[in-house]
Amino acid sequence: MSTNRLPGLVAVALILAAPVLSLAHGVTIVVSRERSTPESVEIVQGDEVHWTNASGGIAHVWFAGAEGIEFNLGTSASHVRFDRPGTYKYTVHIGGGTKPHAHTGTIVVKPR
Amino acid sequence: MKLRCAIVLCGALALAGLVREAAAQTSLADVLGRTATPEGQPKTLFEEMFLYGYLENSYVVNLGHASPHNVNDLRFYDHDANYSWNALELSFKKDPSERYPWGFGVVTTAGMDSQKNHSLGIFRDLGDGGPYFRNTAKYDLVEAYGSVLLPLGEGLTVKAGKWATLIGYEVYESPKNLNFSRDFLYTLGTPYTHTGLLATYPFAKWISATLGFTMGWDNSDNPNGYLKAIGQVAVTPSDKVSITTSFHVGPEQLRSQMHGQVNQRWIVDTTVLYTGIDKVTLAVNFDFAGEENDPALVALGTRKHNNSSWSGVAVYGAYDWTKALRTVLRLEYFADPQAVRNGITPAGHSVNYYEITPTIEYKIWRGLIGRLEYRHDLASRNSFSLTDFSTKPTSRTQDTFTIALSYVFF
Repeated sequence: MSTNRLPGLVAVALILAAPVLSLAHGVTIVVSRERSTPESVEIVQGDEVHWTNASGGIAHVWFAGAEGIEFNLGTSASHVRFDRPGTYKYTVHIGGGTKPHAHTGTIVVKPR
Repeated sequence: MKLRCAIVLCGALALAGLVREAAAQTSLADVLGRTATPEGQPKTLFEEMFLYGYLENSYVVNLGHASPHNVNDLRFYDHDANYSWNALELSFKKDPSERYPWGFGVVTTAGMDSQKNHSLGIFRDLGDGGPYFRNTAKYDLVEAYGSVLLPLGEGLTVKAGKWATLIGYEVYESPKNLNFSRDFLYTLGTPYTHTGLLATYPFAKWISATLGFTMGWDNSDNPNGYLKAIGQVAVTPSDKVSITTSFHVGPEQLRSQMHGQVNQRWIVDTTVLYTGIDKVTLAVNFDFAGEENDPALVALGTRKHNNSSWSGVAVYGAYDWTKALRTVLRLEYFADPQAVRNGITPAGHSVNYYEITPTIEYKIWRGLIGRLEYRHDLASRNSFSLTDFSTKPTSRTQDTFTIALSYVFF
């Protein structure tokens, strides 16, 4: 990810285990071993993205950059809210309990 | 054969009309038309269950001389000048989650590939003749397991049953591979499935480890009674690189072959993946393996040392020109220094194999995917085009051209 996206990336907020019942905007990305579906999503500033693990192993999601956000799917940090417009690229590394694989995905955040 | 082709094609088109554009897999909730849970609320059970399936057919032409029975040597999944119904697969899986900390996986297949994938004890027994297993059922239960996420530390996942091996980069589901044909490492050098137990733990975000035991290589029965060890360490040192090393070790021979000893077979497999270039997939997979007192060498009765070894490396590069068009190139080297893995050349004499495989993949419509593939195999001694009742290889090269069509459901 280019450095001009870092401020936006820093602003990304991880929403931990407790579900937030009032949120209605966002998208779910299903992570299989071969790809994230959808591979590219477009959301509005302040929306939340939820990753669901269907890879058969541990899926490690990593947003690039010095302040990169990373988390393992299946743990509590599988929701991310995007507060700054921009394009965020991430890599999913599948490993741990299954054959390895890696793929990328993109989150495009539009201004509200 | 034409009738069978027509039936398969009609079936594929009929299914195509029933399903949306194929994704990697589709949740049961989507298939049933359930309204999606609003974001931020816990997903329903059906939203955590996923279906996947595909139908794959291929037509392969050997540009030289195939061996008797249309065999392309050292390929288990394609036949010369012959339409092949490779596989019809249906997969139903759920990974453990925090809300539903249990999971399962059931994968069934039908078609020619099923014969090659059987594990000992499930549609195959010790009397069935490898490597083609033509007398076995053309259907299989490839995976059947249960799993649970235990609340220990960051979460310990335990999986028990029959599951695809951790070893290697290519998988038994061809549409999920970059190329249509399987490499030598997959076909000759590594196991396909195991029956046993795995425990996986993420020690940190960048490293996880797996340890367990199995009944052996492609075994659901355990004819020698020994459990074998399996494990894996997956490391992600940066957002662009991951390194995964797996192993499997234990005695695979029958007790009658070991004569009171315990002869170990071992394999160490490493895959390095790089995602740092947009639209490019890069992977390297390499293996080192061996077996003590290999039966193929012991049977010669002429050698002082009967341990065998084999190794190889495959390099993959793929480029996505558009969302629909991908080109792939695979280069591979496979060493069989005692010729115990290829089943063609005489045991005890070193042979090396090389292959180059360019593939064009195009997503035609919905889940319909077409592949055109050329493959050139090269050996350091005659290994292809058998004559004299399939006893004498006459060529060091083998060239094939493949047209493969697959339809991915869900």
